[in-house]
Order: sequence, then structure tokens, then C-alpha cells
Amino acid sequence: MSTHNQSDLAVVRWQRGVPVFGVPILTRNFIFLAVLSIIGFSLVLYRQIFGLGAATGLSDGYPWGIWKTFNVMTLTALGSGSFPIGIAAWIFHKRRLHAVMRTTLLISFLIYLMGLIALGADVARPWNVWNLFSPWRWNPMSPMWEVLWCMPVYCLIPLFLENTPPILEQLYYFFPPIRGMVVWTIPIIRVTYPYVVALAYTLPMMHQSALGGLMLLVGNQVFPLWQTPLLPLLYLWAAAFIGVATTVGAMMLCCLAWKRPLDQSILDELVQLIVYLVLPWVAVRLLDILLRGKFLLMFNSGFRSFLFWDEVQLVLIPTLFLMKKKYRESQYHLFICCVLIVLGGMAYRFDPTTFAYRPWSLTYYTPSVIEILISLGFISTCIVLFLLAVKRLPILPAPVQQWYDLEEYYKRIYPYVQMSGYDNKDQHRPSYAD
Amino acid sequence: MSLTRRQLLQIGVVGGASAALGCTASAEERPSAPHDAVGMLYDATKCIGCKSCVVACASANGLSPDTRVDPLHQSPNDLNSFTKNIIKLYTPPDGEGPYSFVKRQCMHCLDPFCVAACPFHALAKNPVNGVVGWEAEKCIGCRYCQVACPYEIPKFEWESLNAKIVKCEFCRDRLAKDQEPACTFVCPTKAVIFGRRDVLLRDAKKRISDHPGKYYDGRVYGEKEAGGTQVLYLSAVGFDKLGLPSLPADEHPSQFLKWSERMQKYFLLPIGIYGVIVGFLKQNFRDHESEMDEEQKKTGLIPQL
Amino acid sequence: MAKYAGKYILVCEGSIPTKEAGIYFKLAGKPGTQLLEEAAAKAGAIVAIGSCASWGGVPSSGDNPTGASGVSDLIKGAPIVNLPGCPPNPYNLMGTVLEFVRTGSLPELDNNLRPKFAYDRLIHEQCPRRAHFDNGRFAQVFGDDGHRHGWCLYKLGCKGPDTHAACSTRHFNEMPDVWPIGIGAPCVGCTEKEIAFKVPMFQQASVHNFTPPATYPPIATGAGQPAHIATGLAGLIVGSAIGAAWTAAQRFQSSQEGATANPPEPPKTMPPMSSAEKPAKKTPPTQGGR
Repeated sequence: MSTHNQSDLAVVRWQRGVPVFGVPILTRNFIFLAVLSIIGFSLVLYRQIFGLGAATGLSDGYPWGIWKTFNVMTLTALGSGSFPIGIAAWIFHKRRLHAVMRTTLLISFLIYLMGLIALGADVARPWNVWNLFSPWRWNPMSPMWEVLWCMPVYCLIPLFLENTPPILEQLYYFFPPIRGMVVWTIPIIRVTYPYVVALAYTLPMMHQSALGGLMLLVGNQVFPLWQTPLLPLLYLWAAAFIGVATTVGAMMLCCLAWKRPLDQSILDELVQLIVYLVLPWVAVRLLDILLRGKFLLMFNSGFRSFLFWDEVQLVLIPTLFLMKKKYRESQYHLFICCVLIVLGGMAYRFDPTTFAYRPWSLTYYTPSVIEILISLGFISTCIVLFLLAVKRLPILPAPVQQWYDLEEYYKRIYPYVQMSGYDNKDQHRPSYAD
Repeated sequence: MSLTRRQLLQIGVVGGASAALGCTASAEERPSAPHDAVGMLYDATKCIGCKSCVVACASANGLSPDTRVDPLHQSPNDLNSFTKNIIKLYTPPDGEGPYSFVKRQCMHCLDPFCVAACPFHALAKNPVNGVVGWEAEKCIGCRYCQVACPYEIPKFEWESLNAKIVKCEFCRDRLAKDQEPACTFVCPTKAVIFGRRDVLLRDAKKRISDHPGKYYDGRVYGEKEAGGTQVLYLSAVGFDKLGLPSLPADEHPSQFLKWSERMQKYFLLPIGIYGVIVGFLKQNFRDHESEMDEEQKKTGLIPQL
Repeated sequence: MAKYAGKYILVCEGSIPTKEAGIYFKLAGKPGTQLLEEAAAKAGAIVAIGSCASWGGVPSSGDNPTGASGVSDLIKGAPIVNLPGCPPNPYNLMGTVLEFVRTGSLPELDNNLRPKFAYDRLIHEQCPRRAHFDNGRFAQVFGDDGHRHGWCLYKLGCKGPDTHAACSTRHFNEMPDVWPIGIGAPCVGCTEKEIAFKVPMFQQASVHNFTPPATYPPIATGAGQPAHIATGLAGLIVGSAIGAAWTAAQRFQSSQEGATANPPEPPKTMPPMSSAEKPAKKTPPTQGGR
């Protein structure tokens, strides 16, 4: 589409997380989403009081509903961006990717938190969850055990700790009385950081593969195009590229909404990551089906063939497009491709537990309205908390220039709020484009 | 991408260790029956559909009758939270050919799917007699057992706030008192009988050899299905027509989870991966730190992690 | 009475009016209550025969204007046997009396003082029409085809499932089928204090002991139906999400084309102050602490 020569555009570099400033928090969309999340959580209360049977469309023939299959098994893949991006940044020395780490970590934390709450709402005897702390009752070979352990630990320890620096930073700048305490924590963070971050990469490998492993036990009830011994690997892999694509899409949306410049070089690196992840994934998936001798099922199983190709093509075709510089640098194409990859990946994560799952009793399941509203409430809560966080914490990356703009903005609008922590800033103010 | 020699060495060590783990894991094996495995043999050709087993099961297990379909009768349409045992009727679709009753209850697999699925051993197989039972204080209600069971046996009390998993537990209270299960005890035609699994299997095979051509496929359902079950079936019509799925002998949980089991033996692989990542990170974090400090000098802003 | 004190059996028939000092029933100038007390005082056993003598029966129904009561309501501490029924089966009286004569004690009684040998089972459990009940063959209205074929009378208000009596097994006067259900009339529950003359005749009874029917469930019982509202809601949500994404993509295109046409100056000043901007929380001026 865009055939203009783009070299005349100023090259933008994302250098620093800066809060979104100059926009109100209580926008119309924000209130709408907040109402949705309040409705969702009130309905969670309803489910706790009246039981699963009253609140959901579940039955003995179809015991897992959208809270597990969508909110936990599908959406946590969107929140897995911090894991591949972090590995690329820390282990494969893609230093530039550190600029988006805060955003992707925040997305991860919120989505996992909501996934945990969804799991809590779905579990019918939550008072027995304390068995997690009774090792003599563990069955570590159950994929469910792995999910139940790794997900909360991942969300509440590494992800939470990785999300504390923006909060500490904000305290440092805006609450001078405790500035000394914040400074005191910095060496602690620096010493422990590698250990925490390494945990943040080990745990997703375990539980994202365990989510795929859940369906292994179901055997033939999952359609053979999806059921494979490689399911854990493919699930983990899919989570990786979905997470990266989600991060790209979310960054672009944020920059569009708050008129921030996009750093094409970082987006390029992320897209490269997506390409490296998607192509082998598709290849492994097709090869696996070929080697298991289920080749014909790809074409002659009606709706399920359609689903299969739908997943593969939604992921593959946008990736092929993104391999071309022309499409990668067109924001329009980049965004659409990322959305399609996310959709395709989500379909892959969703189908083995729903459309490709055929219980012997041939039971149908449609989620009840309450179920859908609760699920929607969890998603809205995610977005609401994300909006709050990026408007108050230095999360979204921007050129360093914006940090100084922020400071001047605060001095003018809230003169009574004392911002501190700038040393020698006048000598070192870099140019906008660097 | 620049990996140092030390990092490559680390990868090699972990890779080798995990490969070794995979190889040392035990070779393919059939699940074996517990030493005193009890069993049930149901011969569909002897069943007259009197449902005395259904009534006896409900009263022995203190289940209230399921009157949701028909308010005047105890008439469950399938196994459910009120019903641990049921008699169903197979009617040939065109009206021709043999009819057959079938009694459905937990199969008490030798390698149970529900037990492999349960995260906290709420469903566990008794090591002595092989009965698969459920314990309330361990169950968190994740319902993975329901998803995993190929026979769709565990049922859930959807309407209850203290929801329980309901399934046949071989009348384990009666077994403890040296009584046989209620259903085999009351069966008037001895269509379902109780005994040791090995004895029943011999009995079933003898019936097949005594009456060649009478039984479907000349085999006992449950001898090998999904690694074998402790409830055995004989029938004149196809087992799949009676709702008993055809499960290959080698498709049982320890087979399905073979690889994840090897990967996770004593958590060595995750711990190894963790170690490698820590190794990488510690070095790269030092580089990152010095970069950040430089940046701080340049801009005067505290570095962002 | 004086001669056989403690040895005779008092057989009492009919209810005893208690209101207005028992003036509604007088014999030889004495009210019924007094007569009963005198006769019961020296009786070896008391048999209340019929529903009226057992708890008041027909006269006690509704507002009970005369205060009609049964024997066991008035006499306490004496061995009483109730033989309710309207009419009661004579064999029950004979059996009770013979047992008293032979063994000197009364037969085993239930909570309502009825002898268990005759009243321990429900009509429903021994009903000759039970097979029709289990097969779901019910007479729907009096005189319909099912009624003529002798189908189950449950839907016509038969109280068999609620009524403890031996009518279905011990025929009246040894004549088969001489009892309500036998002649196609629903049981009214005449032996049950809580039912007879209280529950409307044609009101359906409640079943207490559920047993399996004569029908069988099929092998596959796949259940569940698509919920239309929920499906619509899910479609709406997915549709609006995709729509939002599409709109965003369009805006990317337009913003980028605009940007390419006139590359923006790097902002030199801060963004304009938005009038809508309000601090989320009025932060008090931070004191000192530099």
C-alpha cells in the first residue's frame, strides 16, 4: 500500500519507559470496561454461592468450559510474550528488545493473574487447593499438578518481582521521603535479578507444555490432527509466538492511541522473532501429522479439516508476508498480520479442548451467558489494570525526550507534586532522534 | 549471537544428562494387576435387565434415586451423580438382530486414566485389591478425571456446593467387611459375578471356548483394553455398540505420559535448564549493568531494568 | 365388665365427639367420652375399628364441628390397636383378636398403633396394576381407553403410593378385586390419617420409594443443546473485537500515509494540557524530603 520512501521519516528510538501523560484516566472506554469487569466479578460471586451447575453450561459429558479452555489455556498464551522476548534479549543478546520488556512483562502478569482467578473460579472445591502445600499428596506426573503449581508460582514470584522496578522507580521520583529506601533495594534487586529472571523462563517452559500435556491423557477423544505426543512442545512453541505477536500488536495499539512514535527497528526484531518461531512450528506440525500417517485427515474430515487449515494459514500466511520488508514497515500490514497470527495461534490453543474434542458420549456444550460474561469480565479487568498501569507507571517505551516532557508537564500541571531525581539533566539532554 | 565456550559446555552437559535420563527410563511395559486384584465379570448374554443391581447399588451406597427424567421412577438416563451403576439397552437401529443389555460402572483400570490425571491422588488405586476410590479431602474439583476417563465414568455433583466426584468404588465398604459388591450379590441370573480378576478371566475364556461363536469376537473386553481393566465383559453384540470404546492395548496413561515423565524425572531437566539460564544471565546481566551505568552517567536518569 | 376386668377386649367403633362436654353423643344420659372412659378403664385391650375410631375419620375432617376424636386421642396408657380403613378389612380385626386370645398380647404395632401384619406395606408395592405404573401406562381420565384396559390409576389421584394397607393382598370377604383399585376406582388412602378425607380425592400422591421403571436408557445419551443467546453474545464479542482490530488497522494506514506525506516535526514542547485531565487522586504537596 504505502509505497512512499520512508527514509525521510525521523528515525525513532525507544529508549525509556515513560508513563502516558496528558490523557485522562477515566475515559468512556475505561468506564465501560470497568463496568464489564465489575459485572464479571459479581457473577463470580454468584457462581460461588449457587454452584457451578447454576452458573455454567457444563455437564458430565463436557466438564471443562471456557474458563479453562479459553481464559487459562488460550489467553495465557497471549501473556507468554515475556518469555521468548526475554530469552532473546538476555541469552541471544538482542539488547534492543529490553525496551519492550516492561510492557510485555506487565501484559504477562495481568493475563496470568486473571488466568489464575479464572482457574480459581472454575475449581469446584477450592478449599482443598491447600493440598499444594502437602507434598505427600502430590502427583507430580499429572499435567494438572504442574499447571496448578507452576502458574501461581510463575505469576506471583518472578512475574510480580519483574514488575516491581517500575513501581519502585515511580516511588523514587514521586515520593522523595522513601527515596532512600528505594535506593537501598537496588543492589538487592541487582544481585537477585538473574535468579528470578531465570525462574521466569524455566516455569513457562514447564506449565505451557503441561497445558498441552493435559490433552495427552484424553487420547483418541481429541481429533488425531491435534492429538500428538508433541502436543506439549507445540503448545509451548505456539505460546511463544503468540506472545510476541501480542506484544507487537499491543505496542502498536498503545502508540496509536496515545500518539507515540513507533520504533521500527525494535518491531523488526520482534517480527524476526515471530518468523523464526512460526516457520519451524508449522513445519513440525505438518511433519508430525505426516509421520503419524494422518495425512488424509487434513483434507477429508469436513469441519475439522477447515479448522486445521484455518489455524495453519492464519499463522503461516501473515508470517510469509512479514518476511518482506515492504509489509513489515507498513504499520497497517504489520498490525493486521500480528492480529491474524494471534488469532491463528489462539485457535490452535483453543481447538484441542473444544472443537477438536469429541467425547464418546457426543455431548454438546455451549457456554452459558453467565460464563461468557465472567470470562469477558476477566479480560476487561486485564485491560483496565493495563490502562491504569501505563498511565501511572513508566512502562511504555518512548524516546528519552518524552521523559523530560513528562517532567515539564508535571511541573506545570501539578506544581505541588514534587518530582525529584534529576542530576545534571541540562548538560546531558540528548537530541530527540539520537 | 555470541555464546561463550562455557555456555556451550553448559548446554552440552544438560542435553547429555536429559538424553541419558530418557534412555535410562524403563522400557515399555504393560500395567500389571495388583496382587489381590478383585474383579467383576459381566456376561451380557445372561443379563435379563431386571435392574436389581441398580437398586441394590443405590441403597448400598446411600444414593438418593434420580427422578429428574421421570418424576415417578428411579430412572437415570446415564451414569450421573445419583447413579454409580446402570443397565442400558442396546437396540439394533433397524430393529433386526440381537438386543443386548449392558451394565455400566467404573472399569477399575489396571492403569487408570483418572488416577494419572488427578493432581493430588484424590482418586487412587488401592495397591492390594486394585479398587479405584475417591477421597473428598484431597479433591480440588478440577474435573480432569472426567475429561481423561475414556469410559466417562467419574460424574460430578454440578448442583452441589460441596460437589463430589461420584463413581463406582467397588462397594469398598462391603469389601472391607468381606462382603461382595451389592450388584453381584443381588444379581438373580449371575450375569455379573465377583471374584479375583485372574480367576474371572480364566472363567470368561472357558465360557468362550465352551460356546464357540456365541460371544462377540471370541474375546473378553477388559483383558487388554487400555492396558486392561478389572471389570470384564462378555457380549454377543459388538462392544462398541454397547458403548464400550475400542481402546488399543498400548494406549494407557503411563504410555501417554512416558515422555513427560522422563523429562521430569526428579525435576532434573527443569533444574538443569534453570541452571543454564542462570549461568547465561549472570554474565549477560553484568554487561547489561555496565551499559546501564554508562547510560545513567549520560542522562542522569536512574537506569530502568 | 366387672367380672372380666382386665380380660375383655373393648372394640370401639365410630368417633367420639368431645366438644361441649360431649353432648353430641349421649347414650343412657351419659356423654360418649364418659362411656368410653368407663369401658376402657378395665379393658384388657382396646381395638379401635375403622378410620373414625382410629383418629376421627369423616366427622373430624374439615372444621371438625363436633370435636370428633379417635380412641387413642382420649385414652392414654392403655393397650390400643387402631384398625383404620373405610371400611376396615374384617380379617384385620379377626387376626388381632385371635392373637390376643392366643398369646395374651397384642400384635406388633407401627407408629400409628396399627398392627404391622396388615399395615406395614404400601398399596403401591403390592398393587396388581404396578406393571402398568412401571411401564408408564396410565389412565388419563375416567372411562378412557387406558382405564378400560385396567391401567394404572395414579394420574386419577390414586393414593396407593402413600397408603399403608393390605387391601391389595388380603381381599375383602375373600372375593377377588373387591376393593377400590380392583374395580377401577383410585385408592383414597382411607387408612392414612394425613390423607383420607383431607387430601382431595383426585390429587396425585407423592411417590416415596422410587424404583426403576420397566424402560431402559439407550447406549448413547449425548445431551446438551446450543444456547442461542449465549452463542449470539459470544458472536457479538468476537465480532466487536475483530471490528475494533480492523478499525485500528485502518487508522494505522491513515496515520502512516499522513505521516509519510508530511513527516511530523519532533515535538519540541509538551503535549497540550487536556481540560479533561484531573489528577486521579489529590496528592497532598509532598513535604520536604529532598
